Amino acid sequence: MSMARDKELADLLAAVEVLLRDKVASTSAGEARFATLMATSAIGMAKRALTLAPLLSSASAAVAALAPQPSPFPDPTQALTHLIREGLMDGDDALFQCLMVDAITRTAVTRPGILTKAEKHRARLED
Amino acid sequence: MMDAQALPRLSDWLEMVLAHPVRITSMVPLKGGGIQENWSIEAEVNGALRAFVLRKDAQATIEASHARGDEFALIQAAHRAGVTVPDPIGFCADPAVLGGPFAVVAKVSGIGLGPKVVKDLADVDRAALTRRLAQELAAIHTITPPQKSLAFLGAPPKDFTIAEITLLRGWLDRLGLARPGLEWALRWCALHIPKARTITLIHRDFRTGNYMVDKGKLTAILDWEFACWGDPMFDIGWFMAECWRFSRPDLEAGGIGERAVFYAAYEAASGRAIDDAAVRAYEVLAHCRWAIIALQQGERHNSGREPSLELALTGKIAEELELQALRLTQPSRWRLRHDGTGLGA
Repeated sequence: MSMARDKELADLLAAVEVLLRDKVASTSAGEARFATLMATSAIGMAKRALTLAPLLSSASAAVAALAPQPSPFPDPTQALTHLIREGLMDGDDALFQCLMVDAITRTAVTRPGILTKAEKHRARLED
Repeated sequence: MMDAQALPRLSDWLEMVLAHPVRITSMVPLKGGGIQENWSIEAEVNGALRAFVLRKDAQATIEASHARGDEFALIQAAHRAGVTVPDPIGFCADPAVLGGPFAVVAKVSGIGLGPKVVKDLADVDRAALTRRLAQELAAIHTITPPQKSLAFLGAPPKDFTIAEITLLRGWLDRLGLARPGLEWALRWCALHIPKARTITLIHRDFRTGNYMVDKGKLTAILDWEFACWGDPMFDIGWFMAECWRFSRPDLEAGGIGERAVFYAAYEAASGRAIDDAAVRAYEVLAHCRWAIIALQQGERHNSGREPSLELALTGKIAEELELQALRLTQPSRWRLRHDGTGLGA
């Protein structure tokens, strides 16, 4: 899917998010309000996942690139997981940097509010 | 869900357990409880109005939770040890009554939702509540193996930390998920959590959100479904972990009070010194454990077994929990990296 199409879809989801939050949740109560807020949260995540798709891909690819080649595992991330469990990556700074950027980027989708300014800078996220 | 004939069958069962005439006047499902169905029951018992909570397994349960009968035995054991729990009323294993096993306890007053508990304590003595929670945890930790009524817990683990990390890795494997960030943090835990000095009953989910507070006073410790034999420092680390402080991350004791206040009250009540390094290392494990449980909850939705937006969103919490675990395990904190003194799980 093209980046232009992603942006168009993200804009559409943003409009739904605003509608649910400002027009529906604000006038509902109890179970209905709870459900609306959950839906708002989910749509916000979907919107940010579309917007951040290139950064999400590059962050996870950077982690996978640290996996050994060749490997008996079909998925490079599984190979990396195996190395970590075996204690072969203990305290490895390069791995840690990639894991942090990956986790920061994924958190930017699910709960951006908890990220520090330094973390956003580290993952090249816009403030 | 309950069928139309459930109420009279439940009423008969309660009459048998309470040895008094019972007339159920209302029975409504309670919100929350992703692992159980919880129902609020009001009944006239021998002419007096009484309130109960009925707990029954949800459609799909997560891997670590005990069956209802075991959980009821845990509540009874805690009750005998002086822990503030809802009065245990009875357990029914007969599926003919409600379609599956269930337990009934007395209903307690107050609020339990973690964010609300943390937020609503503006006018109460937070230090007193912090001390009370520490004393409750100390009381739980007076229960030591072996206990005949808790035989279902099995033998105490030879090495609790290794057993716990192995369990969590197994959960990840069964989910079919490769999560190198969580693996990194688990490996750090394997190297840095010291071997338990003593083994007691641990609640394993002792945190804000799993106890009831009424006007600033503790009314019950809830949710015993994860309890096991383990390192008491685990419970303290779980309680202190930032993920359970909600809107008050500055208050390290569960978003309620100061860490030092909790430590002092626990040590005074238990006579046991707190190993601060162990507690802080268990806080890392807490983030890993909650992340993996969140992934399990998300999988209940993703698998199609139990479609639910709430479960799907719970699964997404794993991302921020993994980040929190990484924040606590940066390379400069790998003190035992090359000296061979780690546990090496």
